[in-house]
Amino acid sequence: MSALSNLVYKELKELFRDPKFVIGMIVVSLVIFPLLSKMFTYSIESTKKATTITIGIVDFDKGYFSKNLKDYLKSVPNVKIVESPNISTLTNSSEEISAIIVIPKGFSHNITSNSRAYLRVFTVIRRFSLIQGSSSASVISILNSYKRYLSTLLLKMNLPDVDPLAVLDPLLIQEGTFIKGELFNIPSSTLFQLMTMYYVVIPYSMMFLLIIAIQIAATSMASEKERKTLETLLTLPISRSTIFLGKLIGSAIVALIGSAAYMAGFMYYMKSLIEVQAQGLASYSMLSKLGLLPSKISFILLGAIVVMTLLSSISLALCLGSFAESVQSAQSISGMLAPFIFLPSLFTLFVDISLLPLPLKLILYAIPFTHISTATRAALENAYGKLILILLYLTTFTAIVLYITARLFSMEEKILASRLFRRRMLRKKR
Amino acid sequence: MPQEYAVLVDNLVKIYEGGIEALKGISFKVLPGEVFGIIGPNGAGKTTLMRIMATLLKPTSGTVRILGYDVVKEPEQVRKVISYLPEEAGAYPSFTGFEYLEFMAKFYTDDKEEIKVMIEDAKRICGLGDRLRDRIKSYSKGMLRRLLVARALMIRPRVALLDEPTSGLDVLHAMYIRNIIREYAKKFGITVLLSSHNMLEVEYLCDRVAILNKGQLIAEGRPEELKEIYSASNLEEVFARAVTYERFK
Ligand SMILES: Nc1ncnc2c1ncn2[C@@H]1O[C@H](COP(=O)(O)OP(=O)(O)O)[C@@H](O)[C@H]1O
Ligand SMILES: [Mg+2]
Repeated sequence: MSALSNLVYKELKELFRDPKFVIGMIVVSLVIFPLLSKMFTYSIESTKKATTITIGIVDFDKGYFSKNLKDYLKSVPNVKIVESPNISTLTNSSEEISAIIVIPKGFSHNITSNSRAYLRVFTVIRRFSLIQGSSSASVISILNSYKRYLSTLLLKMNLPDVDPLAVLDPLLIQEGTFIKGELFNIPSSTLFQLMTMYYVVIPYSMMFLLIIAIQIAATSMASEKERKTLETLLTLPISRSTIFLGKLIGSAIVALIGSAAYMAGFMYYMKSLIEVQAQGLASYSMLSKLGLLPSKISFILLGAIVVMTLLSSISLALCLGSFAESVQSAQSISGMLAPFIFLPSLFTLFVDISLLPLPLKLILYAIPFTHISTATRAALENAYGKLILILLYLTTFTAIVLYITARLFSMEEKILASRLFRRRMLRKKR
Repeated sequence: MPQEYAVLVDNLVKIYEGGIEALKGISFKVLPGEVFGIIGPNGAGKTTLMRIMATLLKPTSGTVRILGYDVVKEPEQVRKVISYLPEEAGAYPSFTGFEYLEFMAKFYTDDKEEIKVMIEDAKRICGLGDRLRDRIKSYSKGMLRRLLVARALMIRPRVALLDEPTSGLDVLHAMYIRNIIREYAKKFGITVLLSSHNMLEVEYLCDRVAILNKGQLIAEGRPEELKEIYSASNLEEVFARAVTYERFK
């Protein structure tokens, strides 16, 4: 027991002193995400506060309503108007004109004679930037609000007894959703948005955890070889399985710590996104109140499934990594596992596995990583039977991998003398 | 059960998977408390022999017993009594010298006092002083080797297997390490089995030596004995004559 904790402690100490690991895991999660969310909120706020937009106007109408439009535009905060008799002076103007509105002849006449009037709007692009895009979009939205204002004005003039709103927006829709017979005053689309977010967020953060764990585990044997510490380790008075277990637990702990940092960063990011979109994080508690979150039992089963998936992938990585001679080749081995982790889950996002032809279904179900998604789904539906089945499969899978890996570890010649592999392969090539 | 021999090697053969015959049936015995040297040129099979004794490689045939334990059948028992210094060994670069020694000591005892004694011993053996507080990645090749020799001896194993213990050391440090190996072996009754391609150094250090050439043991005995038999003035000459003699046999 003390030998095991000694080994685990060593693994942790080494990893946390590895600048690549610390920067890659902790700093990226804890700095990049908050930074991203700051940038996101900043960009939202900056477009809201929008620096002054300059609009160029060419007025060929010079009537009552063209003046009305110009007065309206002038009253909009942060909008600057530049008038000119022709377009070319505006496009070449030193002022940063975002858009040019051309009011054709007959604009006012058309409006007063109850027919449709026309406007031409040109966006002026000097260089491509996202801010530019947002400012030309806001010119359109200003014009749209003018349209509404104009409609109200015309209605008041032509039908003085009618409330303009009753014509412009005659129908008010109030959405509600019945969940398990109980009424909630929220639109179902909001609910589905939230659900989708959880379908995606939970599996993908777990996948991230797996990727780190696999990386660490696969490289850990190879790095013992590369630094020539493996031979010494294998002659200490500890069993092969203790060494193996030490690496297994070390990788798992680090993966958990790493994913905790990642989750903290990610949650912070998501939270700020949600807050900006004014949906409120209350929606999480809302979901749980609605019974759309896993029950305690589902949650425990899901936890067990996560641990099993983690264990099986770590031992798989340890096993494959033992063959690698250098850290670099171990990394490429673990890189080969990545598609098996991401693709099935990506697939399940778009396709219902149960509707697939049987062979494809079996292949997908045989890949342990598929069950990160299927289990998350089953947990949200509280489908205990499914969860237990998944857990059983993963346990069997893990047991087999552990057995094979343990066997491999006892054949130390295979691990030690990888030089031998190369020689044999060289000879085969000849 | 008191053991007559600390190490017993009987008709040991190792043929690597590629077909290379590294050991061609060698036999020898090492008495408890003896410092026994295996000398031979590069490629003679010294490292192969050491690795088999350290339970890292399985022999093709023949037996090796360490304090009565069979290295193939009872590797766990063997690992409890040996301490192995590989020919090319490293340590964890992000650890300080002290941390590395402590990590290693903890596999042999839980007792804090004993760990302290081991680390004190190691400090004396390696002679690194305050540099033990520095990360191992800042060590020179020689410093690392001294740390590793210290690691192997500090636990006072019953049998120490040292593969080229002084490789990479300058003359003075090599001499210092040789003296300290001998001193520890005698003081704590450690049986030492060491290999070297430097035949002169073995002459000072070992009670008995075996000469290995191309996987075969061509001579064995106390340095003075061998010098007398081959009427040579040093072990290098003994080796040269033994090889020639072997050719005519
Ligand atoms: N893993 C291996 N696979 C195949 N041949 C090996 C291996 N290790 C060593 N050998 C061969 O075995 C012979 C003895 O090598 P070794 O025991 O390292 O000698 P020494 O330590 O005396 O220099 C050499 O011919 C060497 O090439
Ligand atoms: Mg050697």
